[in-house]
Amino acid sequence: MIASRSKQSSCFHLKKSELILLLVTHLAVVLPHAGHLPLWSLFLVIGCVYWRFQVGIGSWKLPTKTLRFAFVLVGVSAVLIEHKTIFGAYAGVTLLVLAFSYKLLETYRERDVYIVVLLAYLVTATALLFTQSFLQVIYLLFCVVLSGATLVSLNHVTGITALTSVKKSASLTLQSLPLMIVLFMLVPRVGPIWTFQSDTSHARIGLSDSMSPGDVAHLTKSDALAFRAKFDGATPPANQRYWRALVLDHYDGKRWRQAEFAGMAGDDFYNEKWLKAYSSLYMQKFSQDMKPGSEESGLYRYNIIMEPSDQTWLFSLDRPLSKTPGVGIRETRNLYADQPVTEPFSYKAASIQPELWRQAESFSVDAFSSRDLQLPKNGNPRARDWAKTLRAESETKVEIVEKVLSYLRQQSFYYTLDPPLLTGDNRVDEFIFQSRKGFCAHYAGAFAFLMRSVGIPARVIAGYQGGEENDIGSYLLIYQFHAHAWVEIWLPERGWVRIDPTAAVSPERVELGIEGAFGRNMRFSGDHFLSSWRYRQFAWLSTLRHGADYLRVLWIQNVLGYNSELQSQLLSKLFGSGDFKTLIVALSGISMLTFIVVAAFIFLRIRGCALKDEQLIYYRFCKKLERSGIKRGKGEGEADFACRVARELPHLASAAQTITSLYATLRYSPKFVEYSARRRALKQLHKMERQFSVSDK
Amino acid sequence: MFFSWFNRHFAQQDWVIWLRERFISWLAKRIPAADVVKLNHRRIFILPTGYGAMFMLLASLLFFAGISYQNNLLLAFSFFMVSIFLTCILHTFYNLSGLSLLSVGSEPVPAGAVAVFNIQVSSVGSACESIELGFLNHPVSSFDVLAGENFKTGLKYVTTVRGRCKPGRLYVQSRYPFGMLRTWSWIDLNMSTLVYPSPVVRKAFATDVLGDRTGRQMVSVEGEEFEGLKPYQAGDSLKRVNWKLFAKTDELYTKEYSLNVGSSVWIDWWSWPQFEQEQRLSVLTYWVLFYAASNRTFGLKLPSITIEPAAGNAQKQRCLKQLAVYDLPL
Repeated sequence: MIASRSKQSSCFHLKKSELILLLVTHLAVVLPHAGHLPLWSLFLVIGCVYWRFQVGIGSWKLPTKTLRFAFVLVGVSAVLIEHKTIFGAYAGVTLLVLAFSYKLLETYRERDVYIVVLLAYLVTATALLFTQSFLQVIYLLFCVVLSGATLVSLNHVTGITALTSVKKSASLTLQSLPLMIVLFMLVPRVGPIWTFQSDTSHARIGLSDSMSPGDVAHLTKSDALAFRAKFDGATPPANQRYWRALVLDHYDGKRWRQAEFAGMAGDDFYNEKWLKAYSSLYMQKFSQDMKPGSEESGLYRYNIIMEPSDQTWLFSLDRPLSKTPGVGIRETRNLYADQPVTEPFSYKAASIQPELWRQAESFSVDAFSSRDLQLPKNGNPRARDWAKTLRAESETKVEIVEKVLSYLRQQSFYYTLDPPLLTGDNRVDEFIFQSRKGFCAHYAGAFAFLMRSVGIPARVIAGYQGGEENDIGSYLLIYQFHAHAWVEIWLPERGWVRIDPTAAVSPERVELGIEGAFGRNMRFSGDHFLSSWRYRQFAWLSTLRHGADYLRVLWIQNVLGYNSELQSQLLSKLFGSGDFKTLIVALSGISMLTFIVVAAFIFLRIRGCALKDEQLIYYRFCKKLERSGIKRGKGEGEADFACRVARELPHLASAAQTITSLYATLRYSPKFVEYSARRRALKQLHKMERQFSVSDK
Repeated sequence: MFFSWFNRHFAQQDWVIWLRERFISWLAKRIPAADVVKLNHRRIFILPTGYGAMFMLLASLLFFAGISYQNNLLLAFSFFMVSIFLTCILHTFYNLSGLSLLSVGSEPVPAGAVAVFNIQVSSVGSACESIELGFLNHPVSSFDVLAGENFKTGLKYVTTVRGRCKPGRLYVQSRYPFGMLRTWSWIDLNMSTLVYPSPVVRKAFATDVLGDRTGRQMVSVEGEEFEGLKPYQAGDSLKRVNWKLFAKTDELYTKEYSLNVGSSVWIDWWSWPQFEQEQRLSVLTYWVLFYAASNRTFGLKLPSITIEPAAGNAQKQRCLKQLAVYDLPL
């Protein structure tokens, strides 16, 4: 009964269950970081845990002060070598995990153990900086339960099994969920006091800001999700789903890239002026159409939920405008984010439907600049000559375009994912007149080159084309293999016009999507062989995949993307008003109410346990007998009752006697103060009661 | 940690003493002394521990990190920690509430010895786990009480001087389940125990004073009767050797005296005039315990009271009580 624990001894002695829980918790909370921690640090973590385990069972001693100092020195310098810094998310977490593990080797007092558990909460929280998936959150919940269980076993003065601690902690943790949800929904969202740049040092698959002919083909080998688009109202037909991401308007003879990154940025003043003109022109249209449900729109309104790309460019149909904070627009009419997108990001945009482009625009916002005619001085003489011949033969610029496209259509050009590599100085020549096998980037690049060489402003657009429909959430899924490149040329009277030379070579690519163009021959990189997209021929798997993605979208939009806007929407729905005062009143009222409800629930649960296990079992035993007509009288002692049962049902005499005596011992004998003995006896009673049956057979 | 630092620096300051007195008188009104105390919301205090404070500090740090990184889940995690803390308040409080304590007496002890106060602990509604019970600065008794269960525990308390010892309030506390909060109560179970003077052995007493010229101890004269002879053994008093028989037989025999239960002994305050009051009381205590242990009939004469000779435990208790409270204000 009386627990004594020497708190002054050189090493704080942990009981077995405490030790197990502490070390299991330690490993469990480090696990979500395993993916982004350097390998050596994982070995250090396991080493520390093993050391503490040996100390716990009395075989080893905790390291001396000098040794610990050496450990810290080694750890910090290793982090410096690995990350070149001790700041930033990755280096910081490595340091944190190291400190967390070293602290295990410094548990001299009870307080040190508490610090380890506190650090465990911190390590758990930092995992959220890296992954925010629903499954991860469920796992972290489990980590929180484990940390709590460690606390329970530390605070239990008479000793408790690890499993019981986990149960206690789990019930407490689950009981705190409702209040957490209320706080999450109703605590006012304030803007950042200071901002951090998230770490983007880790490469992700996706578009890059420059394009050589082979690049996009490489992307098509990946079935990672790029983004989703949910349309509100009209949905563009499949052949109009051109998702613009990047405008590549500088050609250096080898690669197409964004002019501003090639040192040719247009000055800001121009951009500012353009933006003003562009928005004022569109605003009239937008302002009447931003209200959802207005029928006569002429707009595609959509919500993009994108996966992290670590880049700033965003996706939109042509002629977009977005009012989502943090989203801007360039004069090339592509959207971009203020900061690299390192977490799932959701924004709203609207684009004018193509039929209305002309009537909505004027040349002031749809001009071309000198950048759109830029070409290297030399190279590709045959292509230049051919273009000039075409121009001489044609009367209008449209005719030149038609001629090039019909050339692509009629000559033996092939659309392929594995084109031969072009290496020379005259790559366009090589492609048009020799290899004639290429992917969209080849066609787009060559076409833009031809246009520019005859003075037609042209630029390459990199983005995605198509999208797979998700019936469950009714939105489009755009994967990396939907990556595409096409061309925009500037024509007088018409402004910027989209030309997709790939469509001339392989119309299926645009009409049926890339899946239609290549069918079963599409191959993905080896590391994705488990991806469910590969097995799309099984309908149920597709449904499952779509369902899972829909859940993820809900998660991203309503949890990860929960913001003050959604908060005030929720308030308006609940209380009819979404202002700050309502928010504060709702927060205090609802959280108070939740707390009271939880308090009542816990109270009833605890009081509900007042009837002890053996009483419950005995009660069931009596009920069984009552059903066969032997009712225990009020005030009839257990022993008397058992005798009566023995008289009336002689074949059950011994069973009834045993159960009664076991019950009486459990209930009235003081010797069952000890927990484990009590448990054993209870188990036995429970078993006997279950076997007890009054039926005559 | 904070309290030890506080005690070191401020415990003797006037305002601290004044505050403490105010607290004690407030406590006396709030939780008056009673034989049975059931802990409920009126009697239970609850405050965060240092660990709980650190936990909340971490939660607020994560809140600011969540705002700064615009990370909703980080915010949710900090709310989760706050919520766990609040739920902990409920659990910690419910754990202690419903605990009943009943004082079930204690044995008299000599001054300076450790008195054991027996307390019956029971829980009416629910199980109370990881309870710690004790007097301030004394060993703690830790236990769990199952629902409807009761058991006895002894609390140790070091006595100092004779008299009626009132150990005062005892604390009952628990940090279960998470150690983020400490819930406690100071309760007064009206406990008291008799502390009699610590016995001092003074064997050869009063021969001169009483003028017993025989040189034999009073013990032998008054309390014992000659019973027979037994062979001499080393250590037997030479005064008791039957020399006449030795002259006849050349063998040493010791005269044996038996205790005469019927005859009574007086333990007399006036027999030890050479001692001061406290020392004299200690000697008297010794003899009371001695005669009680040898089951003799004895009486006690004190200046204030005379207890007629009797035997048995009741007599012993009666005498010890008089010795304990002698010359003390009641």
